[in-house]
Amino acid sequence: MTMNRRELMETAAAAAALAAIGKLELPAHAAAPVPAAGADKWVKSVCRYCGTGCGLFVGVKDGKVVAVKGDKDNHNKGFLCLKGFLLPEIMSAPDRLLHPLIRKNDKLVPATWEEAMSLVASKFKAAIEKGGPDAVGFYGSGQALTEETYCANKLFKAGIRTNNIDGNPRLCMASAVGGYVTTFGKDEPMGCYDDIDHADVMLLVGSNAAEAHPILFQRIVRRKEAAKGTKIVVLDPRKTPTARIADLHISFTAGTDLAILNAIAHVLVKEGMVDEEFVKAHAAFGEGADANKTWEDYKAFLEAWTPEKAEEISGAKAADIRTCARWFGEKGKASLTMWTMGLNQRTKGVWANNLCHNLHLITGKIGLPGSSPLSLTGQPNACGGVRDGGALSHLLPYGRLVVNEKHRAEMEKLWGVPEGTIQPKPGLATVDLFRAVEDGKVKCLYIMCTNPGQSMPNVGRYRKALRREGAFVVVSEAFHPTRTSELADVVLPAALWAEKEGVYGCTERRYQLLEQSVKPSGEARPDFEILCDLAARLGHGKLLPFKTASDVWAELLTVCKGTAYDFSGMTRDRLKESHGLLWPLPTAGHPGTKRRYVKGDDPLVPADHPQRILFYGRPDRKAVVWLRPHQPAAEVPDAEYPLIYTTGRVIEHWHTGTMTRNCKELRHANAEAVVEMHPDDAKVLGVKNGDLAKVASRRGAETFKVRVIDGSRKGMVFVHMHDDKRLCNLPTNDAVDPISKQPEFKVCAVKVTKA
Amino acid sequence: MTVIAGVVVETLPGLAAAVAKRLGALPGLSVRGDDGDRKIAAVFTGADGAALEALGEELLRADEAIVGVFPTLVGRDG
Ligand code: SF4
Repeated sequence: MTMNRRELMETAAAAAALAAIGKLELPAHAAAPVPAAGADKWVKSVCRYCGTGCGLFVGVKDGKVVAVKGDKDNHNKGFLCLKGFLLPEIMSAPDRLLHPLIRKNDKLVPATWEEAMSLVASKFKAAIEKGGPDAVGFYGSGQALTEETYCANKLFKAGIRTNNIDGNPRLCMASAVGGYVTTFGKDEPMGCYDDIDHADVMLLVGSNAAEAHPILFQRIVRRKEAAKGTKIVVLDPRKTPTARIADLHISFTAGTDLAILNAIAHVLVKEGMVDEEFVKAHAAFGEGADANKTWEDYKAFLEAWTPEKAEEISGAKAADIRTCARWFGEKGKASLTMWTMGLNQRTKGVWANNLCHNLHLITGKIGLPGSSPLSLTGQPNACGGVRDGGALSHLLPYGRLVVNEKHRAEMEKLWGVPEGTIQPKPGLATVDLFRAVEDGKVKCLYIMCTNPGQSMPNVGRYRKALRREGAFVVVSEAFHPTRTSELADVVLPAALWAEKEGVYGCTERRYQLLEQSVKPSGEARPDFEILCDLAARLGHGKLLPFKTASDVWAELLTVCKGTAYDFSGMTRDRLKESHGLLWPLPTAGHPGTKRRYVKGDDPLVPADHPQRILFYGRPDRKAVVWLRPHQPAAEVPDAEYPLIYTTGRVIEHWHTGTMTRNCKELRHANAEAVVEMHPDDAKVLGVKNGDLAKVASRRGAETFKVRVIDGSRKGMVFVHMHDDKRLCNLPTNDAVDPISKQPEFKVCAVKVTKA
Repeated sequence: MTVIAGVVVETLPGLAAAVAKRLGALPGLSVRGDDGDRKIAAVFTGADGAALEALGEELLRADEAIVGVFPTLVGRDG
C-alpha cells in the first residue's frame, strides 16, 4: 500500500501523539525528515526561546529555513511547544533588519557596514580618550551564543579595560546564581531534568512552568501520570495553568514566600523529618555573609517561623504549609524543588533561593535521583554563556571574580595580556549601568541581542537615558524596530539563530551546538564577527584573532580546564555528534554528569570519597544552610498605591515578543497585554472585562485592557509581559537585591483606575 | 497549505474517555486514542498554525477538564 504525502503526515502525527501517551513506539518514519515540510536537509540545532533548551532539527530548502522538528534523541524526546514549532517564521519576518542603520537628523537611515562600524569605533575611541575606559559599557544577553558573550567580555575587560559589562541575565538568573554560590560555593544547579522522572514530590515555587517551560511541564505531567501518588505543590499567588494540575496550590501575598519556606523548614525540624547524619556531614550554617552559626542556632531561629506566623504574614493557610512540609519531608520519598522568576526577581531573591536549598540540605534530599533543588532558567543561554564568558560586571570566566587578584592573574595569563590589565573593581551592574548612561558617566553603550528599552524595570526612566543628549547607543539586533533599536544611534543587523553557529547551555548544565543552517539574511553578520571587527578597529584585534566560532570554543576549553566547571572534554566534534552534553566533562571520553557533587557521577568527586556526596565548591566542603528571615518587598501597598503589581509570561509569547510577534499565528494570540484582576477588585474599581484601566506606580503608568478572572489573587493585579505597545515595565520597581543586584520585577505597589 | 499536528490533550484524572468523546465532535480534530485516564492522542488538521493555536486556547477555555494541549509532531502539507 502506498501512502500519499498527506496520509504519511497524518500517520506520523498520530504516531507521535500516541507515543507521547505511551500507546505506541514512535515509528522510524515519524522521526525521519517530515516529507511535507519539503526540506532538502535537516540541520541539528536548539530552540531559540526558553531555558528548557529543546533540541530540534532545522529543515532547509533552497537556502531557506522551511520547517523544524523536535529531536527525539534529545531530552525533549521530539516534542516542541508551539513557539518552537513556529521558529521558521521568525527568519524571514518583515521586520528583519537587513542592513546597518545610523541616526542622521534624528532619523535612522540605511548605511554601509563601513560607515556604521567606523562611526561606532570613533565614538568609542573618543569617549575612552576623554573619560577613560569606564566611559563606555556593554550590555549583553542570555540569548547570545557562548562564543559571542566570551568575545565581548574579553574585548571589554582585557582590551578596553573596563568592567562595565553586564547583561540581561542580571534581570533573570542573578539571584539563582547568588543562591548557588552562597549555598554551594559554585554556580549552577546540581540536579537535572532526569530528576523529574524520579520525583515523588515536586514543589514549584514562583514558576508557571506550564506557560514558561511547556516541554518541562509536559515532563512533570508525564511523571505524575506514570507514578501514581506523585504530589505536586505549587506556591504561587495566582492560580496559574501550572497550579491547575497541583495537588496543593498554596496562594499567598506576593513577596511573602520567605516566611512560608521558613515555616516548611520549621515543620520539617519539629516533626523529625530532618536527616541529622547528612546535616552533620555536609551542612554548615550561616547568617548574613558568614557561615558562623550552628545547627542548634538554626533550629532556634526556626522556632519563631511557625506555619501560623507564616499564615499571618503571607495569607497562606498554616494547614497547607504543614501538608506541603509533610509531603516534602516524608522519609524515602524523592523531593524536587523547581523555581524561577517569582523567586529570582526580588530584592530578597538570593535569600529566597537559599531557603529552597535549605529544605533539601536539612532533609538530605539532595543529590539523589528525584531529589534536588533545580532552578529553571528563563533564557536559552543565560546559564552557559554568562558563566563561561564571565560577562557580568563582577565576573571573569568560570566563576572567577574581578575582585580576586589570583583570578585576575590567571585570566591575564590565559589571555596573554600584561599583569594588571584587568581592573580590580567590579563594573556597573545593569541598573547602575543604565543610571550611569542617564547621568552621563557612561557615554557609549553597546547593546547586543536584547531589548532593554522594553525589558528594564522602571523602563520609562531608562528609555529617556538612552536618548539623552551626549549618549551614544549601539544596538546589534536581528529585528528593527524594537523598543530599543528605535532609541539607538547605530543599529547593526545581526544574524539570527539558524544563520550562525555556536553553543547554548540550558537549565540542566546541558550544552548543545546550534549548527549554521542557512546564510545570514541581507547584510546581517553574526555578532561574533561584528565583535571581532570592532576589536580590530579599536586596536585590540590580537585579543580576538578568531576566524570562526569553533576557534573561540577551542580557547574556551582551555579557559575552563581545571575549574569546577570543567568541560574541556566537550570538543566541537563531540558537540556535533551528541544531542546535548552535561558538564562537568573534563576528559574526551567522559559521558557527562547528570548529578553534580555526587560520587560515581561527578568526576570532580574522588572515587574513594567516603560519602555519597562532596560539596567541593566551598573550602570547608560543606553547603551552607542560611538563617534568612522573611523581609518585605522593597515596596508594599499603602493607602495611595493599594494593590500589588506583578508581571509574567503567557505561553504564546516570549520575553519582549520581538520574535514571537513575528509569527502570524502567535501575533493574534494573547499578544496584547491585559491586566488580570480578581472579581472583587474589579467590582470595587468599577471595571469589567474589556474595559481599559490605568495601572500607575510611583514610577510610571500604563493602560491595559481588563481581564477579570478568579485565578487572580485579591489585592493583586497581573500583567502579561510581552507587549511592545503597552509596556508592563513602566510601573515596575528597579530596586535591586543587594547581593545579586537583580531588580524586583515581581512585586511593587500600584493604584488602578478606570481609564 | 495545511498544518497537520499530532496533539496530546491532557485532562483531569480519569476524564480522558469522556473528553475524547467531546473532542471527536470538533471539526479538524481526529481522536486516535486515549490512555484510559488523562491523556488523549489526536491529530489536528487546519489551515495554519493560528488555527492550531486557536483550537488549543479554545479547548482550555471551554473545557474545565482539559489541563493542557501539547502539539507533538507538527508539519505542513503543501
Ligand atoms: S519549551 Fe522552550 S525550548 Fe522547548 S520548544 Fe518551547 S520555547 Fe522552545
